[in-house]
Amino acid sequence: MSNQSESPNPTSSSNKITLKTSDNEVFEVEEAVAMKFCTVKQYFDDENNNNVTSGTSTTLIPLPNVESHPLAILITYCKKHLEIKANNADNKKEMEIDMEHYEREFLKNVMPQELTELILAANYLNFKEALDFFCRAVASAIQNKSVEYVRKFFGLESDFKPGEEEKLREEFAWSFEGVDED
Amino acid sequence: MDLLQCSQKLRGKRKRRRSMSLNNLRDGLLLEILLHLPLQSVFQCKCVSNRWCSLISTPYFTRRYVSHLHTNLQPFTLLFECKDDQSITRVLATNSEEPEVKSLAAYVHRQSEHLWLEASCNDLLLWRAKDDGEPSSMTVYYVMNPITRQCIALPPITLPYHRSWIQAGLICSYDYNKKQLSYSVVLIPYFHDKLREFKVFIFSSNTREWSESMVLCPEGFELTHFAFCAVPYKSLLFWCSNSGRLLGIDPYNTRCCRSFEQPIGWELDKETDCFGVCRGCLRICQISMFYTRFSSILRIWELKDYDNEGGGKWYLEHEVSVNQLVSKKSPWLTEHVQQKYPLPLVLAFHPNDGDILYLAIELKVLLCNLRSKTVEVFCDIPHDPDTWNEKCNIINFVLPSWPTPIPFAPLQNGA
Repeated sequence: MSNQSESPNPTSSSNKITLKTSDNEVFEVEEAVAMKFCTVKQYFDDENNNNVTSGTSTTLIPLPNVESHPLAILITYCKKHLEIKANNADNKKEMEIDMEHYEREFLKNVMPQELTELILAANYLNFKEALDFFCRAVASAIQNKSVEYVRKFFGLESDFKPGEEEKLREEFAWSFEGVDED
Repeated sequence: MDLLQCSQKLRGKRKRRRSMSLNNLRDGLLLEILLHLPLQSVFQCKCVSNRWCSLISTPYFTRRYVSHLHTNLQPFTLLFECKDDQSITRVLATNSEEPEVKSLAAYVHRQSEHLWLEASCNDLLLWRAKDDGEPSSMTVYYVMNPITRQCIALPPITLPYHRSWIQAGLICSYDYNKKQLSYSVVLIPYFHDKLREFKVFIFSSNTREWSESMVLCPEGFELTHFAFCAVPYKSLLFWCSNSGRLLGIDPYNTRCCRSFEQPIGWELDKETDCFGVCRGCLRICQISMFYTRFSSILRIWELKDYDNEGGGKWYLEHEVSVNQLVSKKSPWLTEHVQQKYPLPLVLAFHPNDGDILYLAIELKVLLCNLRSKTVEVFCDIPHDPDTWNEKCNIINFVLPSWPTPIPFAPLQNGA
């Protein structure tokens, strides 16, 4: 199993794993991709230990906390991640450059509301690289932005009592220097 | 990037799917996001909502934030103050592009000319209000965090000496769990080697008072005028004499001092050129003339195996002939250091990189790599060349991964 997850070309790996989302959609993914989701890997390993004779190609893993929409995005991201890794197996720097480039393009097609479900899905699936990537994406969208922008971006309202916010702003006045315009 | 506008446009198209705001993320995931923000943005985010403010204010957040950064890349800034009768020039030489540094630089430059920079400990600075007074007049010291602009004035103290005869040191520690800052300021009058004991003035944040103590003087130890700033190290404040000897004073127990003789190979008739901390060890530097080779030799010793049971021994770390240094970018600099007996001013050690030394020649700060034997211009010193006397006050300022908070309200405009 382990050599397959490191297979240089993940799309050609033969074993497929079937994932079933909370909205009852079924995804058939290569084992190498599914194994990046630690929650899936754990389930898969447990299943195999319990039932050695069961054929791996028919495994169906339910994901009651993930909807099909974020899962499809995560699978695309994961495939590309593995592909870039395989193409630059002996050059870490090249890999980082390719990955950075891909992530930049990737973000152009992602909306903030999608980020919420993507973060929740990546967290549930325990897919560390993706969780880290989406958290970084949110951070870079709000860094050096005004407090009002951050609130709007997160879809929340201030719940400070009158005067409290002014007091905090005074206390941390230094942190408000050089903030970008919204 | 304006994700926000984009998303608002699209919201209508995706009515079928219930969209969820980022505010639905629980604290653990919100924390994972905030960890990626630069320090300034993190502090600004305290003003977003009560939940954000309390999350960022937890000791757990601070610990995670600090360990999330690569501590070996900790940016630091050299701050020096060149004083003459007419003016003060404050210079910041920094290895960081962080936005905090810009506002820090502006803030430090804005500080009144009536404040003198006396000492530093991590990211805190000790300033002294300058007055032209007589020996018996009152002196006020300030402890300041120039990043957060928090500042506290210590109670005034009357010193029985002229202030130019006093050297100050600052030592502090912050307990993130108790959210408590403890600090001490120690003032030592200069003295020559005939004293058996001498008086020090200590302010402690615990008692909020100045007190006087006697310190037993190691035989022959002297602390003369142009010695170095006190260096806080492992809960002691270390002073270095011109002859390369160290005296460490515990501000909470002045009977308990540590002293170290100068390293083997030290030239007794030559002064100390630099004293500081690098990679968690005390370091000392001396440049001596090497007449037979028409050169000057720069040596750096490091105090290794230091512990609280009396351990600690000097080891020679670097021995470099100054006129071997080469500048790839500035031919004039190579020429300058290759002249006979070049004597650059040694400003500071790099706090993390043992091969890097900051020098000054001709109103320029130089970055010298002792391993590759290269030297390059780092920045200019904007001081009037006619009054530049190399007697500047050099303070190491380490940009913190988390600023040390000073209790009590921030001061409006410096002091």
